[in-house]
Amino acid sequence: MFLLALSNQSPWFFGAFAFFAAAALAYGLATFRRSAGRLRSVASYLFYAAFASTTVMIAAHWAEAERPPFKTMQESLVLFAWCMALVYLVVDRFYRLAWFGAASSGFACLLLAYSVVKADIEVGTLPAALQSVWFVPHVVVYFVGYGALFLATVAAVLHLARPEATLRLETPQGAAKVMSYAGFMHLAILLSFVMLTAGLLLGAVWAKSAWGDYWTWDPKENWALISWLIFVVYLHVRRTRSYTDRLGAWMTLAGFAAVVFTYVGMKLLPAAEASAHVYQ
Amino acid sequence: MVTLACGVPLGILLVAVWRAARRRRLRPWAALALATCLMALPDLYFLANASELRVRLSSTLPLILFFQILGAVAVYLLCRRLLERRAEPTGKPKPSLYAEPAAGLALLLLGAAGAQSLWQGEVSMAAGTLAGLGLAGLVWALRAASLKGALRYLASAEAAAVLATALLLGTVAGTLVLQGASTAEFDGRYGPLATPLRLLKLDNIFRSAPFILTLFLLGLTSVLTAYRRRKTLLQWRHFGLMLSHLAIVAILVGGFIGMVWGERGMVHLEVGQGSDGFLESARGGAPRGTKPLGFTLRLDEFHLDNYKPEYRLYTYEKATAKDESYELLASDATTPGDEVGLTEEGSGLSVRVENVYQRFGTRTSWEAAPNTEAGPARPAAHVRVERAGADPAELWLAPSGQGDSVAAEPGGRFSLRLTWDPPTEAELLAMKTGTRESLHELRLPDGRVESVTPGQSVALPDGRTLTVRRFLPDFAYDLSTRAATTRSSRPENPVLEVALTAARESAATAPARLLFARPELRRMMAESGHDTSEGLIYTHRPAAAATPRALLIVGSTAERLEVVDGEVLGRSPLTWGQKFAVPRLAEGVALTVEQPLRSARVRTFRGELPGGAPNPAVEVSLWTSGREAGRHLFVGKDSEPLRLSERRVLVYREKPGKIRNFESTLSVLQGGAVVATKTIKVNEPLSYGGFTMYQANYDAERPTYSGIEVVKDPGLWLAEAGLWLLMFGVFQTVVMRSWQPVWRKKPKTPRTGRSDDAMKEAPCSC
Repeated sequence: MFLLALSNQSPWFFGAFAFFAAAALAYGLATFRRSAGRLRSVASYLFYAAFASTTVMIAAHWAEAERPPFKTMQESLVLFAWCMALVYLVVDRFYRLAWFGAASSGFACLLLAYSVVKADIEVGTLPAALQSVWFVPHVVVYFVGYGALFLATVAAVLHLARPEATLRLETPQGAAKVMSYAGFMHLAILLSFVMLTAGLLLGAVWAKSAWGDYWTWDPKENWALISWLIFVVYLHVRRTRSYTDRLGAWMTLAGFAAVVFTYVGMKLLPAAEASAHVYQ
Repeated sequence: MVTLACGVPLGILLVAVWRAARRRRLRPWAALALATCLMALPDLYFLANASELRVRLSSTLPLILFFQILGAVAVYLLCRRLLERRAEPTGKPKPSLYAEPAAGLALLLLGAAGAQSLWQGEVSMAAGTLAGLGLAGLVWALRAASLKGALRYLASAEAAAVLATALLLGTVAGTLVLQGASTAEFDGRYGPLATPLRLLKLDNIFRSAPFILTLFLLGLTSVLTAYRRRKTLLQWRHFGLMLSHLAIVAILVGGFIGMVWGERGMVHLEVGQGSDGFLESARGGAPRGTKPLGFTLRLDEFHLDNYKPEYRLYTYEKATAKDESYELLASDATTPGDEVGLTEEGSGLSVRVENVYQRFGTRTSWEAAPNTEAGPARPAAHVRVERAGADPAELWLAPSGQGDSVAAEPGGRFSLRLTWDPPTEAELLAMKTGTRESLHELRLPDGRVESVTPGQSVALPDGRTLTVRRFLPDFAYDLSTRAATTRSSRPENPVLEVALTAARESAATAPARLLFARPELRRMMAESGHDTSEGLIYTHRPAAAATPRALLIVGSTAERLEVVDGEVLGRSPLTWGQKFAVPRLAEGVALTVEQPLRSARVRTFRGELPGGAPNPAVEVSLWTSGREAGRHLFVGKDSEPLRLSERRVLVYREKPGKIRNFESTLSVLQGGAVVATKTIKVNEPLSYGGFTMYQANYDAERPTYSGIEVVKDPGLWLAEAGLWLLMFGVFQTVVMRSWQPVWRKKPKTPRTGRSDDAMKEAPCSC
């Protein structure tokens, strides 16, 4: 079945996958060498190409399906890869971090491969409730938030692995700056938190216009709230004296786990049959 | 039993931890491991006795794990706290800003759950104990800190973190436990755990006292934080932070107002129908009765908007040959020449689309043919019938029993017949049927056929009596009165209502049994298990038309005979291919008869009928090892599936998700006058008089029905304002304060020791 689904993918999919894989390899090699400026540039260009392929793939699917292609699991996985790549591209403009590049492109490969496992058997139509101006902003904002959170998680893992390590940043001013992984993690979490907040609240506004209630305690809504609350707790604990970067890193991991569960774990919950949010 | 199983190890554990902590022998991690192991005991008990306890493991296990992890973390933190206290060199230990408030909050929330149980009249030992615990927690908290101190604490970041964690854990529990289920369903799912879960209000946590108390405290924290930092309210640098805290208060207050004073319900409407009330529903619960709207809501139009329908070929597979459920493997569009279906590897079978039809149909025509051994050929004529106000019809006429009936309104019915030779007296006499009443025939279980009329009784072979109650010529079931009724007096769906009574029973009180004359309805009743006919078979013979009229076309003499009740009223010559009227038989009908064929045989055409009704179909060919092995025709949604192998089938059906949207045109009437009209659809509601009307339901079977959800939420504006302000506040805070170093050309704050200091907010008073 996997091979059959694979044979149904567009050439852009294979392009994106190959470029992401090559970028992951190049970034991976760059992490081993101290001065790998050229290799890292090559990796960046490969990453741009992968991002461009993913963009065309989504656009082509959009045109084919005649609707925003963010409805099924497969479509959302591709969107996740695209949003994560977008966040990394922005980060890459400011900070050239080979580790993050390697992790992002590797994760994008994983997402694309998993999207084939979850491939749709046919291009479905959009049900009435999803035909809303809020559909695209709600979904895209969320996945950008997830993408930023992925970078924060990578930073958290790196921090837990090597607490004393620092990264050299090339800031837009051109000056090199030293920053800890935990510091970078915090910046990424802030971006993610803004996006999670916007996604949660846009979802509420949309739910109001579609179902007449901005909050229905639906399992997906609840888990989105839980993920958001983890970062609320993080932001508040951060202001107290008991905060350590180590604790922050663990909380980021917990937040990422909650987000992953929100994304793919809903079928395990008892109220999943009644939920309006479970992907087909 | 479970309580005992959980309680005993917990008690032992606490004592052990306490003693070890006193001797400072136990390391915190060891304590955590020990706690987890000991708390796994009830799990093992559960797993071993799951079937005996009638517990559905899939639903209870995540729940138990959740509480296990929560308990283990709590025990770990407790151990650490105790060890830290012991390690303090000075006499008075300093209270933590997390542990003690969290413990106090936990007691308070348990107390709230107990108090709610008592308030709702569920008085029990356990509820009383919980309420007592809450009271103790409150006393402890007030003894530990003054009211002022408690309020100051509530305005701190620590308090916000503790409360947000409590909310988070409550929400997790709320998703792990089934919410708002009926008592029976809840008991069935959770077995012995149901009672403690209900006591902790986990069966409906989002509307429970502990949860609302947490939300209230969170709101209070936001207010106090805003109050403490009121002087910074108008500073642009702090504006977003203040705004987001106030926005959270607005959302909570708005939500609370909506919960207490809001109304919500359904209005079920048919096109043309109005309603001035709605069927109220408790949030997520059962309907609670009808409430007035304050105006009349009328459904003027309802429209189901469909995507372009598409029929596809779907391959399904079942896991084993005996399995009942099929899994969808592939979906193929039908393009001629394409290979379709997913056949099993190595089977050598392939399926190819040959012909695709949009308007598939069968048409019979006649062609000249001699008599053969297969049977005699018959005369046949092609007739075109034109009627005022209707599309012309083309038909082939061939001599058969009744002839083709041509309806003409007004003017009644007449039948059209063809004979080659002029009719004999006997044939004309056979057309004189006279009049008779409609006849009801009952075939009894013993094979007797009785002719019955309403009111009559018949003795059955088993000693019971059958009484015919009434005849329903056009049966329908009225959903509003739940009674059988008849739609018209035409015998469209004849049903006989009878009662079967034993010797002393009264026929008036016996339950009604319905005997359907139409065989497909009889079969349907039998399949749905609602058949009460006990083998009685009812046949309805309709009354003959009062004046049987016929137009007789005579082929050999080219004549037309107008016959009424067996009498020839008119006889006129016929020119083949020329239009003529039949004023004596029917008004406004014109016929054109082509030259009849003396000896003809029917020819059936199956395929695309350009003028026919839409009826998608596809013909596929089957190929085994490069040779065509057969063909299969799929016609419409009820077509026969094609078996590809033991486990795989190819099915022709419409692509799901056909409905694009559904819209209702609603009018609001105030005192009989229309004051507002709008076409609403999903995502586009109508607001009037404090209510918002949402398009909620449709019924594919009843195209005139529309389900409208009405919601009155006086707190909506506040909550909605809060949503947007929170979004803006968070964005402003992050951009203005935390990312400044990223986007500003020159860093404003000088860099100090900690790596991330540049990203941290300026120190504040709290």
